[in-house]
Order: sequence, then C-alpha cells, then structure tokens
Amino acid sequence: MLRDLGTIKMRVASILITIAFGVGLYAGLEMGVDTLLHTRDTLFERMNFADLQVQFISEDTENISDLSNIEGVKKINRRLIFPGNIQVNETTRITGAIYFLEESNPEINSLEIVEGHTLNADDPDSFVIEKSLAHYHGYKIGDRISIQVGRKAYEGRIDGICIAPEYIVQSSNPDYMVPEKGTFGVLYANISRVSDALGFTMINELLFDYKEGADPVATQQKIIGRLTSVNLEKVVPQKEHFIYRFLQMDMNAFKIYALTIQLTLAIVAFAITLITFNRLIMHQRQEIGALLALGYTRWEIIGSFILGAIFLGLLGGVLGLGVTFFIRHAFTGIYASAMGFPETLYVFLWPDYLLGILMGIGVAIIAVTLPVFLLLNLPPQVIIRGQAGSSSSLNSWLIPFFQWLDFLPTNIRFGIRNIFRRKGLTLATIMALALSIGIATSYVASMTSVNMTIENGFNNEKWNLTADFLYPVYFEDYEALQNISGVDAMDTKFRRYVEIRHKDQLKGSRMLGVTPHGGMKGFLLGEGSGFDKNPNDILLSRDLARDLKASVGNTVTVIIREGEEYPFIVSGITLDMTLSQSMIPFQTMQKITNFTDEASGLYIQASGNLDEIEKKLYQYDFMGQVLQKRGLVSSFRSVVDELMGIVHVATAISLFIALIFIFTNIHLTIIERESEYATLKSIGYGRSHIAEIIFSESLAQGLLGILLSLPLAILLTSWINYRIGIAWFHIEDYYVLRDFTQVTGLALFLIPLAAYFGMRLIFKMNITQSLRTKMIE
Amino acid sequence: MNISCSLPPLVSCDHVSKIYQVDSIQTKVLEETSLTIESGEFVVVLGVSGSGKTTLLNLVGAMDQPTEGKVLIEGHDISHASEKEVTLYRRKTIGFIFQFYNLFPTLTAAENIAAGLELLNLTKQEIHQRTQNYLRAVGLEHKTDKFPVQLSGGEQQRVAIARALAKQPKIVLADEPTGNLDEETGRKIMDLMRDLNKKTKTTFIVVTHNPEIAKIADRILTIHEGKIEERVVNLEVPRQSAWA
Repeated sequence: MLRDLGTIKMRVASILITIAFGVGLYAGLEMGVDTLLHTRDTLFERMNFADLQVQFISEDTENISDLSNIEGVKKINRRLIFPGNIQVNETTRITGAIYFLEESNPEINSLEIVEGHTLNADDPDSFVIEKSLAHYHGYKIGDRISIQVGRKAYEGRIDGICIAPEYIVQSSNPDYMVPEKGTFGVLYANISRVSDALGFTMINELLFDYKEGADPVATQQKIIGRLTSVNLEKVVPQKEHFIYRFLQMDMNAFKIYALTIQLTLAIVAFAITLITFNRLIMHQRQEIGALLALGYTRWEIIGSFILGAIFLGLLGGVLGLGVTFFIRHAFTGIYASAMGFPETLYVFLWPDYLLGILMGIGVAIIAVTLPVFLLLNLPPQVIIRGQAGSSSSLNSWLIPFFQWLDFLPTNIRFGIRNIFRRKGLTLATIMALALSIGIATSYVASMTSVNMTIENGFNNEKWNLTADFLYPVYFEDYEALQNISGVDAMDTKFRRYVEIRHKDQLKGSRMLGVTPHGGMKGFLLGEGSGFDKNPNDILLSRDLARDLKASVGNTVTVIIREGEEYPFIVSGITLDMTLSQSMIPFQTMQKITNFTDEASGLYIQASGNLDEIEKKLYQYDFMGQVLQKRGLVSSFRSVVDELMGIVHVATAISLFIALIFIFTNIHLTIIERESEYATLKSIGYGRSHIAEIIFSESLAQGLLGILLSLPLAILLTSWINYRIGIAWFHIEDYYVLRDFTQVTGLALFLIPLAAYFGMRLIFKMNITQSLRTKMIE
Repeated sequence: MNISCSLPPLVSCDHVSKIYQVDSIQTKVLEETSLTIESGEFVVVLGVSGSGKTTLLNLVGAMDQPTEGKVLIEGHDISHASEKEVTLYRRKTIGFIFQFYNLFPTLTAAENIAAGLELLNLTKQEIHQRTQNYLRAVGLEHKTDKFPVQLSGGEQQRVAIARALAKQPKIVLADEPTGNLDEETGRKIMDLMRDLNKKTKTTFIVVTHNPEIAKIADRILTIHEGKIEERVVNLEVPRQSAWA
C-alpha cells in the first residue's frame, strides 16, 4: 500500500497538504484562543487582578463601614480615582484617569513596572503612567505630565511606566465593548497628594481579593451588605470587568468563525482523500480481485488501506505542526495587536494538536476505507472485470445540453463538457470550491455586517456628544452648557450601577435613566413595545434579559442598595451594542436614586465644531468625560479593520484549499484522460489549444463553484451573524456586492494558477507512452 | 521530363535506430532501419508484438524521436524539428487512426471530425461540408449527432478514419486499426481504408500483426527484431509532394 502511494506523489502531496492545514487550522486556532485567554489569566494572576471592584461616590475613609472579617475576603485595597483628560500634544486631548494609591505598588491590581520605578511614597510629584501613554503618545521617564480633572490640574514627573491588569485592553468607554488603543491615559500618584490638601483621606473605590475557594456571589453579597454607608455606583466582579468579558465574548464569537473553516477543511480533506483513493482503488481493481482470488480476506485487504490512511493522517498531522505554529502566531499576533495587548504568552497544547492529528487520521481512514469497502462487497470476478455502466458514461439528459454548447469553439466545448464526465468528482470539486469561497465571502460579509450594524446603530442615536459628570449635578448648574456656541439641544441622562433580580437570578446592570419619548438616546428594540406610559417600564439589553431569564411582560426587581428595591415591568428587550444595560424613564430614575433634581450626564446635539465644544465642556468642574459619537464609530471601525487581518488569513487558507482541490481534480482528470490529450496532440493541437481546454474546464468548474458559493455565503453570513449576536451584540445582515466580488474575483484569478500545473503535465507528456495506456472511456 | 524522379520520397527513414532505456536496461527496438514510402502507397507494416512496428509509426508521425538516424518527409527532417514545427506537421500532414479509436467521448461523431478541421483555418461552412462528406464516405451520415458511447466499435473506428482523412493529410498512420474489432468488421474497415486510399490517393501506413489484413496492401514491410524485410505486393502509385 505504502509503495502504491509512491506512484501518486502529487495526489498524496495534495492529501497531506490538506490534512496538514486541517490539523494546523484546528490546533492553531484553538491554541490561539487559549493563548489569548492564558495571557489574560496569567497577567491577572501575576498582577493579582481584583475579584471585586466596588465604586461609589467619593467618601471619607472614616465614614466607610467596617469591612473587617468578611467571610471569603482575603485583602482589600482602597483607591481614589478621578476621571479627567490629558492634553497629550498641542492638538490631541484624550480622556483618562488618575488613580491615587495608598501604597507605592498595591497588592491588588498591582502595577508591573516595565521602565523606571514604582511611586516614590515621599514625593507627591511622583507619577507612574500606564504603558499606552508611553507607547502611543511618546511619554518617557522624567517627562512632566498633567491631567485636568474639572478645573484642577494634577501635574507630576513620570518615575515609572507600568502594565496594569485592568488596562490590558483599553477602552475609553467600557459601556461599548470596543477596545480603543491609546485613547485612555492612566496615571498613578500617591493618595497623600489629595489627603494632605483635604485634611482627610477620601476614596471612591475598593478592590477585594477573595480567599481561595470563596463563593464569589455570596462574598459579593456580604460585601455589598456591609457597604450601607456609601452611595454605590458600580460593583464589578472580575468576570464582569470589561477586559475579562470582552475577551471572553470576542473569543466565543471568534470560535464561530473558526468552527466554519475547520468543518470546511475537514470536508475538503475527506473529499480529496476519498476521490484520490477511489481512483487508486479503481486502478488496482484487478490486483484487489486477484488478492481475493488468492485467498486473502476482505479485512486483510482493508487493513492495508487503513494502514495507508493512518500513515497519511499521521504524516499530514506532523506536517501540520508548522501550520499550527503559523496559524497560532498569525491569529494571536493580529488579535493582540488589534487589542493593544502588552504582551503575548504563547501556549502549546498537546491535547489540541494530538486531537487534530486524530481527526486527520479519522477523516483519512473513513475516506480510504469507504471506497475499498464498497468494492470488496462485490464478487471477485466483478471486481476484476469491472461493472457495466461505469460512472464515466454519459447520461442521456446531458446530450441536449451538450448539443446546446455547439456555438462554442471545439476546444472550449470539449473542456466544458469534460466536467460532466466524472460527475461525482466534479460535484465534489464544485462543492469544495463553493464551501471555500462561500466561507471566505461570509467572513468578509460578516465583518461588513458588524461594521454597518455599528454605524447604523450610532446613526440611530440623535446625539453627537455625550457628557458624563463626575457626580450628579443640579439642573441650574448644567443648564449653562446650553449656551455653549454650537450646542443645539441637550437631553438629560442618569446613569448608575444597580442590581436586577428576576426569580432566583441576580445580575449587575448599568442602568440608564433616559427621556422615554422623543429623547436623544436611541435604541434598537428586539422585542416588546418600548416605553409605554407606565413609569415602571424597563428595557433590558438582550444579554441581560438572557442572563436574568426574563422576557417581555415579566416583573423584575431593581435593587439600588440594600433595602431599596423597586419592581419594574419588562416592556422591551433592546439589541444595542451596550451590554448589561437597562433603561428606565429619566424621572423614575431620579426618584429611585433620590436625586430628584440632578442628572449624571447629558446627550448633546451640536452643529458647531465638536472639538471646540468638547474643550469648552471640559472647563466645567463637574465634567468627567466627553465622548464624540464619530470617535466611537471610528474606534469600532479601526478594531474591525484590524481584525480583518484574521479574516484575510482565513480567506487565504480557504482559497488555498480550494486551489489544492482544483489542482488535485485537474491532475486526476489529466491522468485519466492522458490518451485523449495525447490524441489531441497527435491531430495537431498545440499548447495554446490545450491550455484553452484545461482553462475552460477549470473555469467552468470555478464559475459553478462561485455560483453555488453565493447562496452559501448568504446563509453562512446570516448564521455567523446570528451566532455572534448571541455571543456579543445583535448583528444585522448586510450584503455588499464588493464583499462578494473581492473574494470571487480573487478565486477567479487564482483558478488558472491551479490549472497551470495540470497544463504543464500535458506539455511534458510523452505522447507515445500516453497512447500506449489505451485508456478509453 | 519525369517529375517524379526529381521529388524526394514522401517518407524516408535513413538508418533509424530507436533505443528505449528504463533505468540501466536498454532495449533496442529499431536497428539501423532504412526505408522509403512513396505518395499514394498503401503500406502494411507486419510484425509480432514488440517487434518495433508501432515505434516506426510513431517516428513517422513525429510522436517520438529516433535515437539515431533521420526521418525525412519529402526531404524535410522531422526527427529534429521544433515542437511548433512538429505540431504543424501533425496538424496538416498526418492523420492518425488508433486501435482503440481514441474518439473524444464528449464530442459527437461530427464534432470529433471537426475537432481536427478547426485547426486548419477553414470557415464554419467548409468544416461542416467536409465533416458531412467524410461521414458519408465512411457510411455514417445518419450518425452525425451520435456520441461515441452511442456507436458500435466498428462505427467508432469509421468515425476515427473519417477524422483522420477529413484533414486531407498526405499520410494516414493506422496502428492496429482492426485490433479491437471482430473479423468481419475488421475486414470491412480495411476495405474502407483501401477504398479511400484509392479514391483520395492518400498514403496509408498500417501497422498490424494480422497477415490476413496485410494482403490488401501495395507493399508489406515485415519487422523482425528491429529490422525491416520488404515484400512488394502491388506498386503502381503516382508521387506528389506532401509539403504542398
């Protein structure tokens, strides 16, 4: 058997390449995902990322309840955080935050210094900056840096540059699950700088490190139960943190892409192996029949083929090691760069690799055993003589179609008609092409859908600036913003962290109080009727509704703080990009939070220069963060654009496999029709005529494959978008002609390349030997 | 003036040898073979399997190159011609008939014939006309649109003969044309070829191992262990240029 494989080197090479890519793609993508998750978890562990982060309105430490001896809590760190903005150069201002720390390097969410040193505890001028300020804005050790918090500027000297676990992936607005590299500047300073000025220590955040084995839900409830004296703003368990959740969700979404290409490769590898071995077995029919006649058992013969399949699967798997490394590095490299990871800690998982090899062997065994098993079910004399009515005979229904092609030149007609001779092989080739092109197209179309959903989602919003205050602000204080030149209209909002309970499910949520009718905040309603007249209506984001197992019409309980619980009726489920979000009418929000005259932010409609307006907004003491809609849209777009790199790698692999299939098919058919090509040469067909035959045959298959790939691409795009919608946010299906033409155009351009190698075989062919084969169909 | 004397023979093999080498084993198939064939002749090459008769045919058809010696067609050495020259030679001068017919299964009888004609810069009308004429000549005018799979073995070989002759080549090379047919059909095919030879004055070189078939030839060349022995049966043929 192994010796027989040596006689079909090119076809064996095709099988090996396909299996190698199948194994490599499976193991490489699995390891890529695991590498990213491992990097996240290792960095979290190394820097002791908080198990729970609790934010509240700034409070004197003396007024905070006793937090000692809470069951399950190992350590607590306190911090004071002020949001602000940093003028990184003459023209660019980015949002940021200054973290005032009680220790030079805290035990929870510790800072990993990559340059310089930790905070100098005795020097209020000492600053440590998060790495992206240095990386994207060029800050160096010894530079002066300043952050504007309201009207107050905090200035200091950069003593160290660090990696911080909570900023492995950055976002200036974690409400939207979009990483924005370099858009958020983080400074660390000694808390004494504020305490000394105030005369007391003010904090607004607590970080909790749990004991090993502690129940995170129960421990969180105990902590919240103790924090009765503070006005809670946000409670974020580790797994709900932006960085943790973003990566988890993104990887889940990516696995949907990975699954489709892995399945395609498995199908293509199976088809190539099946077709090749079917041909080999047909050629060896007489030998197999003779072996049976000599007394060999069926299983002895099948066994020799299985041995060949194991050899192929194993060798393909070994070759797949290189592909595994390539895919893992390409995927993680592109992804880590798109997200702005500080470092990547690669993992090699033997179980994934070995499973890949086992799957390769499995596919090879089934593909090899199937044709030999079917053949061995026939009596030996039928095996030796062959059966009447071979698969190559023409069906009568094809004859009218063949005659219809009369208008074409003979060589092109010959090429096109040839594809109907091996219907099974042709069908397999067209299917493999359609699958490969369809998947590649669906990847691109799905990315376009993500982009356009985001853009259309934001177009649905009537605001072009959103402002978040440092604390709830009275109307009379913020009404002056209306007079800023270029501001056309304002709409209030109130945002805070709450917990929502439905039956036995309890989830944290960013609750937003908005103008229920005619406000600037738009939302995409998936189910329900939106806000009715009922002040107790609540809209839940789809992920939140799913987590709470709540649907339209259900009553849920909103918990502001312990003892303050309010019933709401779910009147709609939204499909927006914001996760864990709930919305209630603004006035209801004011009432339940006891801020009856205040707002926590504004939506602003402006027609003037947005950068100028943003600058003016930052001049108000209470202003925390100002975001422009176009900035958010461009952040999304740039992430999607960078992730397109992964799609391009997948597309290239997909098309490469399609080319291997065409190459194998052409190679097989040329060998089968060797005597026909020799005959053509004998009657005076030159290279150009023969090239036209091969090209027209491969292009006809290519065009049929492309034609079939179109509905397949539409179905796959829809499926991928649906699955991503479950894992991430709702994605609308958008089909843009360009996405289809760029993949199919590339395929059409590459198909002749695969045909070229087949042509070379014919050009080199020894006519006399080929005619001696006397293989006539 | 006797023009025939001034023209070189249509086919001339000059001390042609052919050695096949597989690994270190050399097999001498033709040895210092020389022969001439005149235009319009019906020559049968007779020999047992492996005697070198097909090799001789392949060398004349420029399908293979001699190891030594030259193959001249009307004085032009085709054994050392370029690929392009050889393609043109096969296109215009040679017509092949094979034992297994070698028809293209996805082309109809008429299309199989036209496949060779389309290379000759003929108009569609001319191609159609010639195809029909030759199908009529081989008695298959009613099978024009039939695919090879719909024809009997004898009919397929007749289409192959029509394909070879429709190009109006100077030389038709037939390799065991009756080898795959029953005796009766084989005899009919040979009669047809002989008849066409007489009508069209096309030179036929037919390779066979069947001495019965050889009886209809003008001349019989017997190959034995790579060497030719000649027996003239009937030689009354005019000479004309194959390169006209």
